[in-house]
Amino acid sequence: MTRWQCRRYQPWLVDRVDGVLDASRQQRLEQHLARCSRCRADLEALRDLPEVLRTSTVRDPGEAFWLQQRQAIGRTIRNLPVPHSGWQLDWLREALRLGPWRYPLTATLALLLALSVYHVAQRYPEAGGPSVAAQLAALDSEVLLALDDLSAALTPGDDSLHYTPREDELAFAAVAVSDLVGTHTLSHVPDETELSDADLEGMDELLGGIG
Amino acid sequence: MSVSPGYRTRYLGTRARPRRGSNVEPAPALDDAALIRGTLAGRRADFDVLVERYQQALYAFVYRFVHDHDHAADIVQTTLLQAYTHLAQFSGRSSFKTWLHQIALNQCRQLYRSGHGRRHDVPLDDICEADLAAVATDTGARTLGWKAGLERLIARLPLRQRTVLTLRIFSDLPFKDIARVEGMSENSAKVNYHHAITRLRRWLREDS
Repeated sequence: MTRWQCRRYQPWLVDRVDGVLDASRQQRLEQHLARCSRCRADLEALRDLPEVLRTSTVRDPGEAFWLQQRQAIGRTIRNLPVPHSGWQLDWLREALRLGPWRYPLTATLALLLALSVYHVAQRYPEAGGPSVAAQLAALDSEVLLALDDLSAALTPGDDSLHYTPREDELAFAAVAVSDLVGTHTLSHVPDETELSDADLEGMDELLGGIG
Repeated sequence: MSVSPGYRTRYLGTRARPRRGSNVEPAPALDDAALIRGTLAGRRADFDVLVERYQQALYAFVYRFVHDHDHAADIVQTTLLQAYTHLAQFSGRSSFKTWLHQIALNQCRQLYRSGHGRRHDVPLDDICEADLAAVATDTGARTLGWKAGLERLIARLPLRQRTVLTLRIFSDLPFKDIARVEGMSENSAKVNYHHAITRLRRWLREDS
């Protein structure tokens, strides 16, 4: 029997001396001990040597030393703040001590949290930032026209862009209004009362020209 | 060295010895958990009780690593003060005694790293005076030589094996707590203990 084969029995020998080895292992260990003299000698040492070692004692520095040390520690801690108890979180600490259940519970809570975030994101898309429509509305009319030209230049024969004449008309009218009122953008449609007579005339003229 | 005949032998062993000459039943002692709660609630006197309870055991444990009274006294004092300042962080997963040993062991390691703790010879001062008195007899001399030899052999063990052996034999900690202190599995703690015992047996045979 090699020492390598004996390695697995080493902790069992310790448990056997402490009387905490379970029955099945005890049986296997006994079978091994019957044919391994080294492990039998180890078992004997584990049983006898600790008692011998316990007779070894450390020299006592004396009661005066203990008292002096206690007083020194006492003086120091009286100058220190009381350690923070953290009692407010005791219930949480206890709640987290759920043994093996804490892992599936944590996974479930994480899943619920992720679903909640997804639900909120779906319901309030603006919460995650401005939508595409809002971003487009914020663009200046000149930029929109430039984008339109660019798109037409890049995709001259793109049949997916099915603008009806009416949509074109409304888009140009909106741009014209924006141009007329100067500072207004597409995101702010001016009320009729805000426009001057000259603006309205100009718009009529433009729409008539388109029609 | 002169030995006073009236010297009362005192040992820092592992088992509590009953106080002689006292007929008064001691008041039921509060357990560690109650004293810790009291300390956290601001009753510093409760911590004094904990200091008195573990001061000597810690000293005996630390002394076996450093073999120097001044170093051992410093480490015990630092350990107990650190335990006080970090008491709120004590989770109670191990015993308070185990926690204290863990702090003390870290202090010993720091001392080792600084190069001050590498002392393997066991000075004659380490032997208690009652043992020195016994030198007068042949049997006593053999016993003294035996004890000094034991301490010397323990000091020769590799640090991890010595730690596990000391925590088990002299501090009476269960292997589960030793594993926690040493940051290893319970099985590894048992294997280290096995190695320490079998190595000591071999050295003792060689010495004899």
